[in-house]
Amino acid sequence: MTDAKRPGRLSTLARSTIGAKIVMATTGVILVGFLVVHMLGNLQVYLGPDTMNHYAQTLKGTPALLWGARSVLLVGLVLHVLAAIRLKGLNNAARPQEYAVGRRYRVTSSAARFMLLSGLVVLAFIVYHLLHFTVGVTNPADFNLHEVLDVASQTWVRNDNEQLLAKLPAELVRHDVYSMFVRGFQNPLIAGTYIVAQLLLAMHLSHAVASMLHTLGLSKGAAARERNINIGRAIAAVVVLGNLSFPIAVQAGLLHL
Amino acid sequence: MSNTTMTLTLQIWRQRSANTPGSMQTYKLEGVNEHMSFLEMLDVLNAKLTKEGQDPVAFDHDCREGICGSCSMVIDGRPHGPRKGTTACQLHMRTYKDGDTITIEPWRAKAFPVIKDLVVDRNSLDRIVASGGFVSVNTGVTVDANATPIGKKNADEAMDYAACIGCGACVAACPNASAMLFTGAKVGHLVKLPQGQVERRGRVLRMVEQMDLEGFGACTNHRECSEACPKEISFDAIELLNLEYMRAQVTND
Repeated sequence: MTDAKRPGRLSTLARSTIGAKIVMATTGVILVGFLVVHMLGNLQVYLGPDTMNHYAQTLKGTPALLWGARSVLLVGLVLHVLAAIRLKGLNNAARPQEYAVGRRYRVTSSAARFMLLSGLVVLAFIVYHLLHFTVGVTNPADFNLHEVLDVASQTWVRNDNEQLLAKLPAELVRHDVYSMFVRGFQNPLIAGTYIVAQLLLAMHLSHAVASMLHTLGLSKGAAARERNINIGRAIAAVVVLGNLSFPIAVQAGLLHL
Repeated sequence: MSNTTMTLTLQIWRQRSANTPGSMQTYKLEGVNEHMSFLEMLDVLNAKLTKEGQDPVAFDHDCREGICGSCSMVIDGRPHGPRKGTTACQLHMRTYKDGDTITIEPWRAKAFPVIKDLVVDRNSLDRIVASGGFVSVNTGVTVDANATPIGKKNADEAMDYAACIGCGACVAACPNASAMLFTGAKVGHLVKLPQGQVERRGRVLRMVEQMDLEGFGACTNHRECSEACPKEISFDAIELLNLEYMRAQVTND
């Protein structure tokens, strides 16, 4: 014991500004990882209704994985938002009087300066997106679509007869995610909303990824920092271009019912 | 050597005391020689103001050779002015041209309250250092030079971090008024040396705790701090601070 006065452990981590940054970065890794997987999964829509609906059926058929992932994501998202709000409060309080003359920044980006704004838009979008495609309350007519397995031909056929669906065993019915997806994006207003949200997500990610790699200690030296900034922009571009392709493909008629 | 003189319009933050509100005031200054330093230009202004019976502009200065860290003013929206790696005292008026308007205001941070005009109280930085930015050495005979071998790379990095003059430009430049570049540099120059190992864990924990207590903001990786730093302390200092802090949370040495 060499230090006479040692502060405690986790209590100081939780209260400190660096602790909040670590929370932002680690939850960020989880959320970015999810975004990549989510986008790749949805690319299956280009392989046709059967592949897409089978993918959705598989996810729903493994509730342990589904709800395990959902819980991790929910906890990650909540912590990410809470840490962001706390940091913003601390940072605003750290400069009660603004500069009288506008500052001239040298290297920071608009993406970095408006993280909270882009983050709040993305958060609002996540809530809407869940209500739209996961819970199905905003457009129930598009959401409540099902396919029934035709046992003789082993093919899945659309069936909207609710009385029949209620009677059939669960393994013979699956959610028609493909049709929900296409009908959702056929509405130009909804397609537009998704496109705008994705552009803000791109802005958020373009700073987020480099920032998180830095906080986690993976960018020692100017060259590594430059590399991480490029990695961040590349991940932002891949995720968002993939996601943007969906409403655009539907609107352009490349994906149809 | 030419002796171009210029006429400048200066907009300077004037504030009588910590508790009175301040405002930007405009002054016209003639006969500014291009070889003057920025602070000498302010000396000329102050001589003129004094002669006119006005209160001179208060500003911090000491060595005027770029190593003491006293001068602290945001010039045209940038701490220490437009030149990279240059303190305000080493900024020369040849950077400007006749007819220019220059704005000057103090560092802005909760942890740097204004004392008067351009002078702010930067004791918060000293308190961070006092909380752990030192090595405890029992005094005795002088140790032979090079008695403790230190690798070249570590010696260089320690020296680069030790170049910090504690001026506070990093805080002034940061959109969040964070002092993590300063604290990182102070932690970094000791952690790279064998002498800094004994108190390694407690040092970073206490310094970060003090930094937060002083009311500095948190780093969100804008990198403005190292760009504004007159000693060009690398942004690596913040990564080092994060890692040292994380290490201190999980180790017991």
